[in-house]
Amino acid sequence: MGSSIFSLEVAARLDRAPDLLNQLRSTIKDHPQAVSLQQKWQLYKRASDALIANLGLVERGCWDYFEQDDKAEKDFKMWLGGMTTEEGARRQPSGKADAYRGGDPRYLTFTMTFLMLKPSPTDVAVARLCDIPEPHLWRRDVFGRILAGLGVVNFASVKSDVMYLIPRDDDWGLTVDDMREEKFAYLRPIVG
Amino acid sequence: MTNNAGPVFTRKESIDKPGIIGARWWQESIATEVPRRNALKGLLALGGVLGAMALIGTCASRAFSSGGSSSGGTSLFGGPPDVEFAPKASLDMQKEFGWNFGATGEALVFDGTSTTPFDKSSLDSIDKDLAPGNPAYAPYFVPTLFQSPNAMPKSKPTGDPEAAAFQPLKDVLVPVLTPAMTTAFNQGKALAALLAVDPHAKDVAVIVDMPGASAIAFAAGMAGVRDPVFLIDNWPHPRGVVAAHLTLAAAIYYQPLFAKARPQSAKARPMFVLDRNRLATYIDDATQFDNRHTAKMPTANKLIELGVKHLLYVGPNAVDRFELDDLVDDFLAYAASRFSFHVCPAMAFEQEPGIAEPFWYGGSKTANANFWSHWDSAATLRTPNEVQVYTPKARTTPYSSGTPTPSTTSPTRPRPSSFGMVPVAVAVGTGVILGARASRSGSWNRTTSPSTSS
Repeated sequence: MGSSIFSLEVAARLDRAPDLLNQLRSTIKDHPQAVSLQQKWQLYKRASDALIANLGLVERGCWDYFEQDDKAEKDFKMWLGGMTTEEGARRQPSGKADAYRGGDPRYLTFTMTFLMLKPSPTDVAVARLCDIPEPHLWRRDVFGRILAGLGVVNFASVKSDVMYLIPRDDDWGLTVDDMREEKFAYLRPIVG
Repeated sequence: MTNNAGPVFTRKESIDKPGIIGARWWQESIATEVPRRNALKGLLALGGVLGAMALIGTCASRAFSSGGSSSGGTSLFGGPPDVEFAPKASLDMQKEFGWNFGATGEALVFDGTSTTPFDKSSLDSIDKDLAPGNPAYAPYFVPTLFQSPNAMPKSKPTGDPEAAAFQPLKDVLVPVLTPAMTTAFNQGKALAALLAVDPHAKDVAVIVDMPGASAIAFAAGMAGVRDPVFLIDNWPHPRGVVAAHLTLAAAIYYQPLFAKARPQSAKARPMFVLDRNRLATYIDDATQFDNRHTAKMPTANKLIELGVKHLLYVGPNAVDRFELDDLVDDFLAYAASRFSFHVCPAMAFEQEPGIAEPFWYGGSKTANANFWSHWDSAATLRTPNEVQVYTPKARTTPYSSGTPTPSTTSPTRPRPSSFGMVPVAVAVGTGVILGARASRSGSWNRTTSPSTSS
């Protein structure tokens, strides 16, 4: 059996959506040590719904689907590395942002990655979901379509998954200068 | 949907710190069926160090295999070479063979809708309606985009006889209005209201550098208070890297407004309008058409002649509030000529929470009153989402030398080698252009078919 991979990461205005951080953080914290397939589906549904509800505040993002075995496994390791190395996280707090009045914006990033079994109905469904014409890859409505479509994932066909959120605490949000760093260059401006 | 079996995923790694929280889970029952499980686990254990390095650019491309091209300079049938491929300027090819060169019959996809009545005959005058009102600014106007709707091909590619019939761009264009455009329009209005009344603004030229449709909308919001000088130097294409058709569709939507405002705009300082997507990442010449372009700004001396002393650069948001790479050398030249610079992201103009209109600097009428005091204050006192003094910095990039050289007088300004180029099939011996290499109906493509892996 082979592997395929689906990954999605978004950067949203933390200072404009104070509840989003709580919602996304809870989906990770509520993941127990051992999770059933149904629980996992519901937790990802919660995360997706929270992002869709705040899609207008997502400024940057990216998503991938790859069906080549080697690429899938290599990329999964790479996305996991984004968490284990804490590469994107701040080393110091940045302070809480002023929610409405001209304060320095703050950002959060949320990342999810599935290493899927291939062939499997889930792999086929995700491939279909991700069949987006090249010029439209980074459109806001495309991110919405993909997030809304993740219900097609049957976790019986998922070998491993990674979910992480930067930051955990609201006074550790990413700043504009953080987002401008080269390490975040892979996040595309969302169009539309 | 999945079943209700007991726990099957086990948490293998987790992190829980103020700056990051996350975890990885593993489904052992599947993992045991995966031949490469052990290898993968080994890789995962090493993932940290390598992962962070490789993370950059992951999303910069999807798994598109190179498709479309066949055998380069060799014959399709194994004989001596009869076709070779060469890069040509994309815009030149569009002007020669039509706006949809290599993709006739492929549709443009439009965002948004407009219920405004639309008379296609108005497209006949779009390049005039959107020209600067002040004749002194006319030499700097780049009308390229607005000339595309009515342009007809001069010839037909001889090697692509089965290509769909040409359809003029004006026949497939529609005006669009999106929520992003409405926001940008209101942001432009809010800035215009500030510039219209304060003596500070007397000698200020504005440079609007936002994604195409939003740039048009922002300029529309400012029309009458500043005279728009569009610098959009490309044509739409069905596979365009730059979605110029959306920019054009936005321009069509606001065309009546621009036309009506022209007499008033003619009395105002200039506002140079750029499409921030002009340097968009180009991935694959088989699936995309490189219609990127660079900004052509007036020289410092010309700006001085136009009475400009100060420049306000408007990017879309706090992250993208500084100049793109192709403006670096121009900005350095302006700075060397003692122009003063300010930057202000469009997102500095917001609606007051809970109140429908209007947009204000800082999101409220109270904050709006601080615009000029922010303008005059030291940059270190300002946040990225506010107007602030700016000193252009030298950067050497694929589009800039990091030296103060004007774009309009420097033919040697750096560019990536294939920038704005399209590969075409050329007949060996005669040099006749047969068609676009990526044309699906081109004879040079009939032995292979494009493929994507996703």
